[in-house]
Formats: sequence, structure tokens, C-alpha cells
Amino acid sequence: MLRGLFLFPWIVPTFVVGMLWGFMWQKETGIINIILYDILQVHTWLGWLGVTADKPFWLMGDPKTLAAIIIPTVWRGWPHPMLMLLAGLQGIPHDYYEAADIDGANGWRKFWYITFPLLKPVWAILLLFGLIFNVYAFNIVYMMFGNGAGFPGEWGDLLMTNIFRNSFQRWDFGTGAALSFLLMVVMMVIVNFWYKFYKGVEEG
Amino acid sequence: MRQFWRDLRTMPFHVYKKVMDRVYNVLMYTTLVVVLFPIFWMVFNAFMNNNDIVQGKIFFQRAPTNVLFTEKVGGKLLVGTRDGSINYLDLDTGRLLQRRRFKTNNTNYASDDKYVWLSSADKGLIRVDKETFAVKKMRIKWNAKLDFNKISKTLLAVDPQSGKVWLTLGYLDYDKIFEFDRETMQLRNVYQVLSQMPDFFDKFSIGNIYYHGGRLYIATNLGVVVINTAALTQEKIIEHPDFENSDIRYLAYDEATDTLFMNSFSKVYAYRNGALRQIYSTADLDYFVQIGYMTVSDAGLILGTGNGFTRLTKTGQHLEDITTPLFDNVNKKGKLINKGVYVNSDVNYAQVIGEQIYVATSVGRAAIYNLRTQAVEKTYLMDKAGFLNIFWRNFIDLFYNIDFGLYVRNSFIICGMTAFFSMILATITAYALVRFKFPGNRFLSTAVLSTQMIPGVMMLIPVYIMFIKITEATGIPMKGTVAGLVFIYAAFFLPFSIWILRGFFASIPLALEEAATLDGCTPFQIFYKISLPLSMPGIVATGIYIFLQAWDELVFAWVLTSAHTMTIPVGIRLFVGNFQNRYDLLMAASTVATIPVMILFILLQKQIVSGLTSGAVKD
Repeated sequence: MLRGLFLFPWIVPTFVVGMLWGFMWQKETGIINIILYDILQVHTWLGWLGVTADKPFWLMGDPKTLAAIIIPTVWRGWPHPMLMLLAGLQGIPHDYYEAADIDGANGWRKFWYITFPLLKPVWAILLLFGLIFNVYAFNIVYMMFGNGAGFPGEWGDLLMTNIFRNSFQRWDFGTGAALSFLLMVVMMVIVNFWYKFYKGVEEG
Repeated sequence: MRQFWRDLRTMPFHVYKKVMDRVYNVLMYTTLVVVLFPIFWMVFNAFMNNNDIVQGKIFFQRAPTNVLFTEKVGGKLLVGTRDGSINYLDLDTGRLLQRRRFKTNNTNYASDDKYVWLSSADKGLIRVDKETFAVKKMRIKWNAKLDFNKISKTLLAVDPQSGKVWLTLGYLDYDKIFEFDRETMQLRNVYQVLSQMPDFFDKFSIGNIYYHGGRLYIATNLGVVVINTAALTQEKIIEHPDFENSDIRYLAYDEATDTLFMNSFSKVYAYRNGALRQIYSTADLDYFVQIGYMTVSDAGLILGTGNGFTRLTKTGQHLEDITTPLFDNVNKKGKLINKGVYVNSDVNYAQVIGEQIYVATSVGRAAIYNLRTQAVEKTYLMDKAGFLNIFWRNFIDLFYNIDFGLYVRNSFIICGMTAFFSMILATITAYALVRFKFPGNRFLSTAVLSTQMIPGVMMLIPVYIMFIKITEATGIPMKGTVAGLVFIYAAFFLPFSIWILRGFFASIPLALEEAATLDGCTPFQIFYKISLPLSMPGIVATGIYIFLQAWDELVFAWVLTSAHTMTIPVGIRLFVGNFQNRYDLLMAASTVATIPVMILFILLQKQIVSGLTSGAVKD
């Protein structure tokens, strides 16, 4: 039951995620600024960090835009690795931990010498998987930045949004196709790496 | 804190475990709340009023207790508010005696010698007897597609002599005027203004209607249409070049001078003997004044402004400005009632009886002003009469005014067909890859895997060009059709389905199939009678997963659909452009887009989860 609830963000369609977070990041009407500034009053106790009393425009400016893209992506994406790691954890025999207990290992050592290496096939694949899939991230950004254009511009333009903008808004298919091709070559290398790793895990 | 940890160390193990379990639980539930908050926020905002969202209010607000109407009835004061409540107050103490709530939208009031009339866009015409408080309601079919948020007002006029009530809407291009019988409340006539207009150009709206002396005056942005109510014929149109830019808001007929007065936001006009002239304008004042309400009496013209009211003579001479603290946004003790938008209040209604003016203002007040002493005699505060504004209407608007139903339908058709076709193809392919040895088997499995790693956005441009080429060569429409999108989606999701289904087929014991072969089954029968039923849960789960993926697909749909084949993501994306500040509608649309997915997931959670984990971890 609890696991199901934790999976909910992962079920929300990405275009909805983009729109929802775009709404939440708004300067005056967004809930994030309301919580931070009106309820928690962060500017009063984080003033030394350079947090000003003005609510920030989250969707504009250099580091903020990236944060505004990364946080929803993580929020949407994390239940899947969680599910996989959970399945992996349940697959680790309990005997190992008992043996470690007898040897006098503490919790951290148990994690570092048993859990972590045994989960390696899972997290390594998830890592590469995540890398590959998030290079192709498009929906969230495209929906989040409203005002017609739908693109963050110089502050947070992703590869995919750049390709899309070049091809279908400036109608400059050449640039778009060239970028796609380059990206595909790079991804081929990564995918090849991933596949070798995957095969190695499968066999050994 | 340090002491706490030291205690923790020295505790017996079972106590330690209990404490830590509690700590983990708290952490877990806190995380859960934080994680689920955005979803909750989406659904919550789908039920909120957009104005509240834009103003940064985070809870449901009470409906404004805007007082629209006030009148002295016997020893009592009748007060009508915008959310459709009719109240009787004690004239001396201001105590509430009686109340009826109707929860109406776009409310407007009118009164005659016996009844108070309440008109609304959603609940029609309501008649309340002034003596007995008896209520009679009449629903109205407006015969038009209405966006309830864009209705400025319902407009109402009553004639007790001939027993008629007229009702219409202040709404763009709405021109029907309904005539009701006063006693039976039956619909008698529907008069259409535009059918009688000589040269109608682009936009039309009715600003107000007013009845006097056998004539119904319909103020439109094209001029004031005068209708003889006995014959229902149009007598004349009072035209003025200014009217195109400024709607006429209120009209009042003065019998002493035989003049029809009317006002726009900044000007007052007088119509007499067939000639219209402007008698007063706020444009030359050095501060901004918007004229809200206008009425005429022996004491002169009373103009309700944002700062109180202004009194003019009937020739337009300025007599006095009446601005007292009463009309500011404060209560009797001088405190601000509602921090925020309205600094001053509008005068919604004013009625002159003798030397008293009965005023209804927009901050929940009715007041009596004395003309002789030039002071406020009494104020009546209508506080907290509202109800919580929970906007189910956002969803109605979504399907009624925007073609969101079309997008939902398209999405269901396209995603369903995609899941269906890709499942058929994937089942056959996966089974072949698992069970049959043929040259290139291993290569094909690998190829399937690696194409899965190259998502389709790369292929957007080739597919786009390919679609155009196919249409050029064969004449089959591909771009902008359901079939084209299903075709490309099925192709796009096929590798993933094959990859997952391979795992399911591989997990079926080979011994079963061998037994079937011994019993004389053909290979196809083995597939059909044994493998397929056994792997059915997996196939369904994969199909659902494909459905969800297709539901989420934006890029292909954005480029390859046309106006009538748009899916939900494209439709919503258009919203973001067209309805930029309608956050309520955006969130309602998001909720609608999420609900089917949520339901599917909750129903098939176990299958999807086990399918994914088995496919990714053990395979």
C-alpha cells in the first residue's frame, strides 16, 4: 500500500508534471514561493546566504532554471529506481547479514560490503538507464515554460528542446538533423557501453 | 540530543528497535506527504477559483458578500448580495431577521411593488415575495454555449403594470431577451435584438436593459435599442459614435424633465426629444473616477463611483462628491475588512427616497445617507454570508467551452489502438525469438534491445519527412490522422514490449510445451493454447504500460496531429499558450489527464510492478 503511494509521482504523465511544476514555480502565485517566503519566511533566517526578501523568478536566471528543471525530473523519476532497488534488496539472502552480524560488522559496513556490491547490477543499470533516458528529456521542460514558446532559452535549454526548437519552430531542419545525428552517435557509444555491461552482468 | 543518542546506545535491543521503527515510520510518512503534495496541489487547485489563485490565496475562499441591492420594505431593510442571498435586516438595530440563500452566479436584482426578482446565469429567475418570503423559481435555457466566467451580468427589468419580466445576459454576441409572465413565470416571448439590427458588425453585447413607460430600452454597444413592449416591435435605435468603445451601463428615465439618462464608465448622456448629448464626463477630472451606478430622482442624478457617490443636477452640473470612510474597505471600528484588492468600494445600487439615499456597496455593506444633513445615517454590515467557493464548474467549463472532450477521446482511441496493435505484434515476435532457433535470432534480440535505447525523438524529423513522402507517393493521408499516429506509436513502442514479453515467455517451462507436442499439438496450437493463456497477465500488464507511455507522448503528437486529432498533451500545451492565466482550467485539465492513468495503475499495480521488476532485474 505504502509502496503504491510512493509510486504515484511516477504515474503522473510527464506533460502534467511539467505543467504542474511550472504552475508551482510561479513567482507570486506559485505554492513554492508561498511556502518558502510567506509561511517559512526563509529570507529572515537565510539572509546570510544571500537570500533576499524578494520572491525569485524560478523559471528565469541561470542556476534557478536548472534547479527548476531538475527537481521535477527527480520527483517524477525516483520511484522507478526505488522500485527496482527494493526488488533487488528483497533478493539478497538474509544469511549474509547474519554472518556479518556474527563477524561484528556495524550497519554501515554491512551496507558497504554486502548490500552495495550485491545491488551493483541493479544500480549500475539504473544509472545508465537514467542517463540515457534523461538525455532525451523533453516533455517536462516543454510544458513547464509557458508563454507560448515553451522553452527556457539560454538558461536551461536541453538537447532535445534545442533540436525541437531548431527544427519545428525556426524550421531549420538541417541544424536539427545534424544535432540529432551527433547526439545519436554519442548515445550509440553510451548504449554500447551499457549493453556490454548488461551482458557482463547477465553472464556473470 | 547527545544524551538521547547515548540513551539509545545503552538501551536493550528490543526497545532500541521499537524506537527506531517509530523514527523510520515518521520519516517515511513525512517523505510521503512531501512527495504526494504536488499531486494534491494539482487536484486542489482544480477546484479553486482562478481569481483566488492569481491573488496567491492558498485556501478556498468564501464567496464575496458583495451587496448588490437594498430597499426599504416596511420597517425592514431588504438586502440582496452577489452570492444570491436575500436578507431582511432590522432597520434600527441592523440585526438579521430572515435570510434565504440561493447560491447563484452572476446575480442581479430588481424589485416591484410585490416581489423581489433575482436573476442568475446558473439557476435562472427567482421570485421572492416581499411579504411572505415565498419563493418561485424558473430555470432558463439560454440556448447558447456559455463560458460562465465570461458572463458579465444577468440583466433584468420588471414592469408591474403589464405584468412582464425581461431577462437577458451581458455576454459577448448574446442577443436573446426572454419575456416572462410576472405571476405565472411562464416564458412568453423571446426577442432577438440582432435580427432587427440593420448593419451589424463584429462584436455585440448587451450592457443593460431598462423598462419605462411601455418601452424596453436595451443598451448595447451599437446603441440603445428601444422596443415597444406591447407590440414587441423595434421603435428606434439611439446611436452615438462613442458607444462602440464604451458600453452603456445604466439607464434612468426622469419624468419631470422627460429625459432618458444613461451612463458609460466615464460619461453621462441625456436623451431628450430625439437628441442625445453628453452632459458630464469624468475624463476632465484630475483623478480617476469610474462611474458604476446611476439613478435619477428629484434630488438630481446620483452616480455611484469607486470612492462613494457623486450628485449632479439634471443638466450635468456637479453638486457634491460624497466620500465618507463608509465607502472604504474598513469596518465600523476602522479596521481593514479584507486586506488586498479593493481599496475603495463600488456603489452597486442607490435608491433615493425622500431625503434618504439607500446605498448598496461592494464591501458587504448597505447604508443610508441623508441628503439634508449630508451624513451617513446608518450602515448595515453583511458579513460572512458567503459559502466556500468550490469550483466544480472548472470541469464543466473544460468540456463545455474548450474541446477537451475531443482530446480525451482522441487520446483514448490512439493509445488504446497503439497498445492493442503493438501487443499483437510483440507477442508473436517475442514468442518467436524465445522459442525458435533461426539465423539472426540472437542479432535480432540485440537489435531490439538497442533500438529501445534510442528513443523516438531522434526519429522525429525522418518520420515527419517520411509521412509527407508517403502521402505524396500513395495519397494515403498520414500526417494529422489517427491511423498515422497509431502506426508510428506502435512501431515506436514495439521493441520495449518485445523485450518485456521475452521474459514472460522464457519463464514458461519448456516441459509444458514438450508435453503438448507429445499430445500432438502443432506449434501454433502450442502458442495459442498454452503459452498465450499462461503469459496473459504479463501481456495485459505490458499493454497497460504501453498505453500509459502513449498517453504521455507529446513530441510526435505535437508534430503529427491536426486540429481534430489532437491528443491530451497537445491540447493542454495549447492551453498554456491560449489560457495563460487560467490556472484553474490548467489544473482541472491536468487532473482529468491524470485520473485514467491513476485508475489503471491502481487496478493493475501488482502486475505492472512485478512485470517491470522481473523484466529489468532478473532478465
